[in-house]
Amino acid sequence: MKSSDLGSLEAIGIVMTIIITHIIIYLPSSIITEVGSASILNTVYITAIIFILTLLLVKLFKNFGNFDLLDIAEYLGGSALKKFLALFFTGYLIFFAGLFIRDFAESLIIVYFHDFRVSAIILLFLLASIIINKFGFRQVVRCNFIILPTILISIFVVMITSIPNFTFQRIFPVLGYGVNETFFKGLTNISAFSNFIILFYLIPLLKDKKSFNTISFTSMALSGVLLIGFVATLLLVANFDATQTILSVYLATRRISFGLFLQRPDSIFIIFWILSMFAYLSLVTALSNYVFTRSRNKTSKPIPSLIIISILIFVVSVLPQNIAQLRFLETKVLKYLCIFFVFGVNFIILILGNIKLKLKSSSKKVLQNT
Amino acid sequence: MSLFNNFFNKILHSNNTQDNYNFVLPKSNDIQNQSNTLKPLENLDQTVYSDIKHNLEYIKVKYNALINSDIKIRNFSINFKNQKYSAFLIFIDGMVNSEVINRFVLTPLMLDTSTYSKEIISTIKSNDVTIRKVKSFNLEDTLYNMLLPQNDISRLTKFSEIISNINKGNCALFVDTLNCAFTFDVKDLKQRSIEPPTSEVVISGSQEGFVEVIRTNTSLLRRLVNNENLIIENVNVGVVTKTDCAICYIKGIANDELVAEVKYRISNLDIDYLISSGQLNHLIEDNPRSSLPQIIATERPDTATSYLLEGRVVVIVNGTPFVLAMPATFIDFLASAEDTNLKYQFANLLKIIRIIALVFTVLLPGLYIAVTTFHQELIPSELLFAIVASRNSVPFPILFELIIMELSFELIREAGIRVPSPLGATISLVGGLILGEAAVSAGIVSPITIIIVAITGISSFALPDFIISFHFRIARFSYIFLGCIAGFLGIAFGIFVHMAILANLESFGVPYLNPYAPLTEINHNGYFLAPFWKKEKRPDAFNTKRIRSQSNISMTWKKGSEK
Repeated sequence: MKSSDLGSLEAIGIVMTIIITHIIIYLPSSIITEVGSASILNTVYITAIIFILTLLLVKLFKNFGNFDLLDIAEYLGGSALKKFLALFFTGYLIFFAGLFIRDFAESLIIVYFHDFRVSAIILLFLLASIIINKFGFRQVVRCNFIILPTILISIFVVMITSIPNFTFQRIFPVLGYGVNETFFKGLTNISAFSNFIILFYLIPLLKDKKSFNTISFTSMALSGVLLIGFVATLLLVANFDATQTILSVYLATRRISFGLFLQRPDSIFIIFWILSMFAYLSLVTALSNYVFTRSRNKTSKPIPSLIIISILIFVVSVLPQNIAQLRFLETKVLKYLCIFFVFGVNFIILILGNIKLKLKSSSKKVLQNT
Repeated sequence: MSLFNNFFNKILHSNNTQDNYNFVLPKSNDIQNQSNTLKPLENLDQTVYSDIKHNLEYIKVKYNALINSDIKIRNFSINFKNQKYSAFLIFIDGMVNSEVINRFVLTPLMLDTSTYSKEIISTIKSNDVTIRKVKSFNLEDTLYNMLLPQNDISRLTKFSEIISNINKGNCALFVDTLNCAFTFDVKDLKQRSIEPPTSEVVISGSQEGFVEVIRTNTSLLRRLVNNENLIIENVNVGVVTKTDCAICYIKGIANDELVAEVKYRISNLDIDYLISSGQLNHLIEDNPRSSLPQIIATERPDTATSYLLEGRVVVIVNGTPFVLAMPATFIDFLASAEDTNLKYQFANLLKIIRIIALVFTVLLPGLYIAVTTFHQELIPSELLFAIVASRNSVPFPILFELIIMELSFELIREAGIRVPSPLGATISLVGGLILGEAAVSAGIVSPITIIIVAITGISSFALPDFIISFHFRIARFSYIFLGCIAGFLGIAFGIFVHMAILANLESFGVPYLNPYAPLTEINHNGYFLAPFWKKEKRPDAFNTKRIRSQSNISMTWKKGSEK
């Protein structure tokens, strides 16, 4: 098996790993804070939009065969655009990973590891990521594929066991802070589907390129279902004002108890959340490394990109001076950066690539006719 | 002055026996210069001389016949057509059947040469005169065709081949004037009879286990496979021992590339000796530095047969009752020989228990230390109070307590295995019950630690493969340290890195976590056992030549009843 031979389920697993970790860390809290009781409606709304975008993506990629966005960028603007896109992509993932790992480490310190230093926890995560990435890309995918089901099961357990704590009145008023907040300002919550970016670079990695459409729709559908489910769980369980303080999932698990015997089962779930973070970080590092390596010429000297990426993630993670800065970066900067890059730059390159292809083929036809 | 000294020394130390016996082993370089005895063994291209004296001398030198007590050389003469030919037999005492040599080698050669009649090639009759054309006399052919009533006889010219045959328990005959020697299969090796396997005990399955003799083992396989496509290829490994290894596979099922790879690895071993299949295992596995086994060892012919029928290659090493099967995946080491004999529901229940045992074996002590050090809120209040109360009299930290108890348990286990079997039970009893009880009474460890270590130990015995059990025993200590350092964070780190190591391993080109990572077609060949009638295909990862192992509807009798 070559490193690029990803099966359909493995590819879906990659996309899912990203959103699951985001759900664990901040997504549901962020959405609930933004749109209040209309969170479920808003999530359904953005899921519907993401489906339309997925349809558009699939249509736009249809004419490019086995090309991914990097190849299309090269076709459109030469190697300069390809390198620029690869650098932007790598930087974007590093920025995301750095902030999330910091957020997660801070949450771990607040809840369990009061005597630990943030940097020590972050370094532990990065160490695991480096170890598995040293083995190779396919090892990262295999490992994620084994861990993912356990994380999914743990999330479903949290959802199901939270049912007794549901207060259904929390969905009222259905439109939350108003139509404008829910449907227009709330549209920015589409950044929740930041895992959408993987689809732009997935095709060359697939064993069966024809399965791209299925992978795209399935992964987005599953992401949507998971997001709606967890937003609903958190909305019905926690107060709006409590949602911004700590890990989203922890807020739900904190209220679960199994009689007198297990009064604080949240500690059990923490193993799964930590595993999820390990999987996420290793995957993001592997993807960054993959795209970065692809952008470079084969003849140029190899550089230890894995170590460089890990160092950069560490640097980004220690940049915010406090949790308030971290939250600001997550909810404001990252959100708009995601919309700009994932749903802006990438789609523009894809559309322009298609236009160029159309023009070329039509001019060819004209030439053939003359 | 020195005279005086000597005089007094003699008087004072007159009865001095040498208490300090100083033997110094010479350095290996010196030995190499002195001795070249192994060199000729490595390159025995010398052919048999026509002069028997030279042959006898050569053999005597090679076998150090003057000092080797079990090398027997029998000189005698063959009287043939009024001519006397000197001859000698050589064999190793204890490996041959003397009766067979006496009756079917020496008697025909020494006493029955008179029965020899000339071989007639053709007969022509003309005018009442019969003209018979007689084959010209050839001693070599006559001996081979008429005077050696043996079913397995070879004519060999190279000393290397002859010596190899003698070492295996054959007998060699050298006759004067001949440029070759005859070797006969007169083996009578004392061997253990076929007994029930000791390490893979089953209740409802076959009670036959492999033995140490390669031919008996191949016959066991041959009998169970019962198909002419079972190929058993012999390879010799080791410059000195030339250990017989048999590479077994089923032609038409096993992947050719896999067979070639196994042959390639085994044929390219530059070693002096090979004593056991365990050693071969270390030499041919993909990642010998990993403590995880990548080749399965079994002492059950039925298990080995099912491996062959799945498309794997089985290697038998002479002298070991454990045969090797390759490739192997992680789930193979969690499967028991009993599984296939049970109904699939029972087998799957046992498999679930084994998974729980695996988790306990690896993680329980680590989780205990993590919970008691970092995550006390997880423990119910009453239990927490009980734990605190039980630890009141213990002066050591939990880590120390756990390590001490784990090491004690390993010690008891090791001692129980090494001592003679009647004492083993006593040691376990003394170690487990009395020592544990005494340790708690003395306040060295808390009762809860004893419980944790006992559950962990028992769980490790529930794993069917003892080699993978060793791996988890080592891993357990890592998890204890990780749990102590960083609680669940450390444990999760350990799990993730462990997973990464597992994901990185391959066995003869098959990913170790197959069929789950990478996800391939499971075809009812996953961890959990499907009903036998559903196992229609062979494992996808082995890329077998014959994919199906049964038809879509294997129980055709059901079709008949529908009609």
